[in-house]
Amino acid sequence: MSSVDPIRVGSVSEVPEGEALLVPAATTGTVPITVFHAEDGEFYALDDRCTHGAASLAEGWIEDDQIECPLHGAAFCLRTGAALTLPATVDTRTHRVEVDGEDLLLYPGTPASS
Amino acid sequence: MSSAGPVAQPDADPVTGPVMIVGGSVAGYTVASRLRQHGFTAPITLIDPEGLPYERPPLSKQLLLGETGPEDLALAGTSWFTEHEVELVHARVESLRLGPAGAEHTLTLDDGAELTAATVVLATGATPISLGIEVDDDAPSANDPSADPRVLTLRHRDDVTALRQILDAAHHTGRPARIAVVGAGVLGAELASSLTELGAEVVLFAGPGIPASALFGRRIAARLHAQHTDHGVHVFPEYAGSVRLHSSSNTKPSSDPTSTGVEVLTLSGAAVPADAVISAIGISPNTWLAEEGGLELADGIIVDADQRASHPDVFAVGDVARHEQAPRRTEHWQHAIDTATTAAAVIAEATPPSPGPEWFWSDRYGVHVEAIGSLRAAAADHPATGYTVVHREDPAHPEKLATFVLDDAGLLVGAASIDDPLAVRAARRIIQRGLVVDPDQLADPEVSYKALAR
Ligand SMILES: Cc1cc2nc3c(=O)[nH]c(=O)nc-3n(C[C@H](O)[C@H](O)[C@H](O)COP(=O)(O)OP(=O)(O)OC[C@H]3O[C@@H](n4cnc5c(N)ncnc54)[C@H](O)[C@@H]3O)c2cc1C
Ligand code: FES
Repeated sequence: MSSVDPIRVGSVSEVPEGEALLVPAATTGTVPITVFHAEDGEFYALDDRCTHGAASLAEGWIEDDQIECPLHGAAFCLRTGAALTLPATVDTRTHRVEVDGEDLLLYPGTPASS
Repeated sequence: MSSAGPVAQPDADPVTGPVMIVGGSVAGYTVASRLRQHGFTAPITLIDPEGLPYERPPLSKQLLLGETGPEDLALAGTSWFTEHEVELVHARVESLRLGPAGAEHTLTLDDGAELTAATVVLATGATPISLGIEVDDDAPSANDPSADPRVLTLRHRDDVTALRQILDAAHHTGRPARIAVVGAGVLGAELASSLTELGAEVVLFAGPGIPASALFGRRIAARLHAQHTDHGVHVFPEYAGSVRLHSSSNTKPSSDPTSTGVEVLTLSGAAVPADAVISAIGISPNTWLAEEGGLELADGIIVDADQRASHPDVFAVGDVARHEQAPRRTEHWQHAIDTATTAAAVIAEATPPSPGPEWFWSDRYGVHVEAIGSLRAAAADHPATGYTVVHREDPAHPEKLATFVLDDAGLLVGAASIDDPLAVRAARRIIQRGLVVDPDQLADPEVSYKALAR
C-alpha cells in the first residue's frame, strides 16, 4: 500500500491550527485521509474514517495531540493513531505528511513514523 | 469525555487484596482496564453471565438494523484478559456477604462457587421496566406471561435476536410486522426509527406533549418528535397502561390486525392491536445484591464523589450508581466510563480526574443528536426564570440546530444539538473551563465553536 511519491494536497495557509483537511479517496488513491493541523503547529494525517463507526474524523475536535470523533467521542492520538478511549477499540493508521514551503505533501500508505 | 486520553503514569502500587467486579459491561470493564493502566497489580476478577464485555448503544441502532454483527460490539477480546491478567468469570453473583471494613467479603456465584474480595465493585447496571400484562386463559404463555415472546424489552444482545425473529415471522406472512413501542424517550425513539427502516409498521405510545423536552430542550425535542410522523410512525399521544395477550399468536397469518395476538391498552381505554410490544418506559437499577449487603439505596446504590458506597470497601459505578447529591440517577454510556474511571483511580490510590458534565448521544432517522449538562431550563416554550436560552441556526445547513442554556451569571449550564456535534464538544470545554460566553456569539453560525471554547 505504501506509495513512494507524495501528493500535494493543499497549502499550509488553507488549514489553520485546530482545523483539518479532508483528502478524498480519489486523490489519495486509497481511502479518504484527513490532514490535521494540531495546536503544536505540526501537521498529522490519519485515515479519515473512525475505527468505531461511520464518522469522518475531519469533523472532529482537535485538541493537544488528539482528535475526538464527532459521533461518540472516541479520542485518537494524532501522532500514533492509537485509540485512546472507548468506544473505539481499534487503532487507526497514520500517514506521513510533510510541509514543503507552502505545500502540504501527503504520503498515503506510508506510516508517519517511517 | 473527561476521560479523554490515557491515564498516563503508573502510580505507586498500594498494598491491596483482590478486586471483584460484579457486572462486566462498559462500567465494570472500564474499572478493570483503568486499574491496570494505573499499574495496579492485585488480582482482578470480572464476573458477568454475559461473558465478554460488549457495548449496548448499537443494540437499538446498528445491530438491530443489521449494519454490524454481534462480534463488532466487543469492548475487549479474550486476549485482552490474558494480557492484563484480569480473570473473566461467566457467572451470576447470587449473594454478597460483606464483612467489616478491611475484612474479607464473600460473593457466591450461581454455580455455587465462593469468591473472596478485599474490594467489591458493583457494576450491575439496570433492568428494563416491564408493562403490566393481562392474559387470556388459553394464551400460550398463560403461566408465565413475562416469558411470552411477543412482549419484549431491549437491553441485551439476545433481545435484538428476539425482536428480529418477530419481524422475520411477520415477513413470512407477507405483511409488515406491527410493533407497538411503548415510551418515546431516547430508546423508544431509536426503536421506532430502526423498526420503520426495517419495514415494520410502528405504533409509538408517546404520552401527551413532546417527549424528552427536559433532555434536549423544547426546540430540539419538538423537531425530533416530528420525525416519527414524517417517517410513517403512528404516534399515540397517550400512555400505555398494560398489555393484553391473546391465544392467537403472531405465527397465525392474518390480514385482520385485531387477531395479531397482542393489544396495548391505553389509560383512556383504547385497545391497540399489534404483533408484539416492546416497552421502553425506563429502567430500574439492579440493586438487590447491594440490598443484601446492607448498602444504602435510593433508586440506585448511593455513592459519594469517589463512587464509594455506604461500606468503605464497596464501590458502585455506571447505571446502578447514584450520587448522593444528584437529583436523579444518570443512565448513559459516558457516565459509566467516568464513574468507572473515578472508582479505579480511588482504588489504585491515584488522583481521579474531575468528571465532566453529563453527556450522551442518540442516533435516529439518520440524524445525530447530543446533549451535555442540563437542558431543563429550556424544557418549556419559555426559559425558566433566571436562565437564557439561545439557539444557533445556520441557513447554509438547515439540518443543524443547537440550543445553549446560560444561567444568570452568564455561565453555560447545558447544550444540545442536532447534526452539530462540535456545539456539544465546545460546550463541554466552556462548562469545564467556566468560561463566560456572549449569547450572541453562541447564536451566530459565523463564529467558530473553537474560538468560543478558547
Ligand atoms: C439499547 C440501548 C441503547 C443505548 N444507547 C445509548 C446511546 O446512544 N448513548 C448513550 O450515552 N447511552 C446509551 N445507552 C446506555 C448505555 O448503554 C448504558 O448507560 C451503559 O450500558 C451502562 O453500563 P453499565 O456497565 O453500568 O451497565 P450495563 O450495561 O447494564 O451492564 C451491567 C452488567 O452487569 C451484569 N450483571 C447484572 N447483575 C449481575 C450479577 N448479579 N452478577 C454478575 N453480573 C451481573 C449484566 O449481565 C450486565 O452485563 C443505551 C443502552 C441500551 C440498552
Ligand atoms: S464513530 Fe467514532 S466514536 Fe463512534
